[in-house]
Amino acid sequence: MAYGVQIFDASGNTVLDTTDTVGFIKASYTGSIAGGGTVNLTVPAKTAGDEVLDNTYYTAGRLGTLTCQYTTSTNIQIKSTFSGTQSYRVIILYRGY
Amino acid sequence: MSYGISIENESGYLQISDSYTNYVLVASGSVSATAGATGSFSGVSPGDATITGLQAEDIVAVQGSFLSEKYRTSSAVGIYNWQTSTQSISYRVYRKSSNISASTSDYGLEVFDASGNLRFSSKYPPAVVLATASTRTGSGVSGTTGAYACLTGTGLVEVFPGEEDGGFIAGEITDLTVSASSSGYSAQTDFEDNYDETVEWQLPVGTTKKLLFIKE
Repeated sequence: MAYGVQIFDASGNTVLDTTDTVGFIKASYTGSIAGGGTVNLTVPAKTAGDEVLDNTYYTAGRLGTLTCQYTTSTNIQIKSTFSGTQSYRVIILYRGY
Repeated sequence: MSYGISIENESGYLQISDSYTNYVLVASGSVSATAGATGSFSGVSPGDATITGLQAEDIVAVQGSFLSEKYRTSSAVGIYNWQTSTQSISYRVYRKSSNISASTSDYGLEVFDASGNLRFSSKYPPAVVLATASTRTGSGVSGTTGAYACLTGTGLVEVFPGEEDGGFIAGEITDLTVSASSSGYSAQTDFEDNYDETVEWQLPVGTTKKLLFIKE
């Protein structure tokens, strides 16, 4: 073992090991998007290990999908297939490398 | 960085830092999902289950088969069960470390940033990321048997813990059909799993749905 930490709980179970990759929150964004619409977010420059995920609140029975993805290293595009305005919550997850 | 703490793992990947907020495990358990009404993935009336006790910005990861998110509020998430049998769904709730309280115990390690926000606590296991997968590429993910899959909005998540095929998650996207509607163009895809069954998955044209898998 060269680097890193090992953390154990009170029962001796390993909760973090030297080979583990941890998920950090680099940034998060909330807002609203029109039905069938697109929203572009200017974001910190993408680095290796960055992923954008949606963590959107919505009500049961709403038909549609939100997607979010990088279109450039500094732009995330959110698209909606909902028929009406929908809130969005997206997270840029940084995997530490 | 001229001050603070930064710990990297064997591969040089950051594990603990006063500059970044972790997602940490704050709750886990299981809930029973009612059975779906039919055995088909088209026109099915799914069963459901509910996980409560959430806070804003929490993420929820689940372990089960043929699940998708039904609804999400700041305090609860509803889950669809697309199987025709009941199932027990294991779940884990991950919270921003800045949204938890510092420990009152006299042992362990806690890291704060310059503003006093909690960045790391050994009391709460951090979310260890196994893999991410992009639905549109259909690449699937291997070697994640037993993983917890994050519920990410309105997309469908499948996990096959302990299956004989090695726990492959997801599979090929096939039969892409693009159509126009009053709300714009959309793509209806069939998402083929390892059992040659298909699942409907709606995505806007030219987009992907990113999935996140967390170590058990």
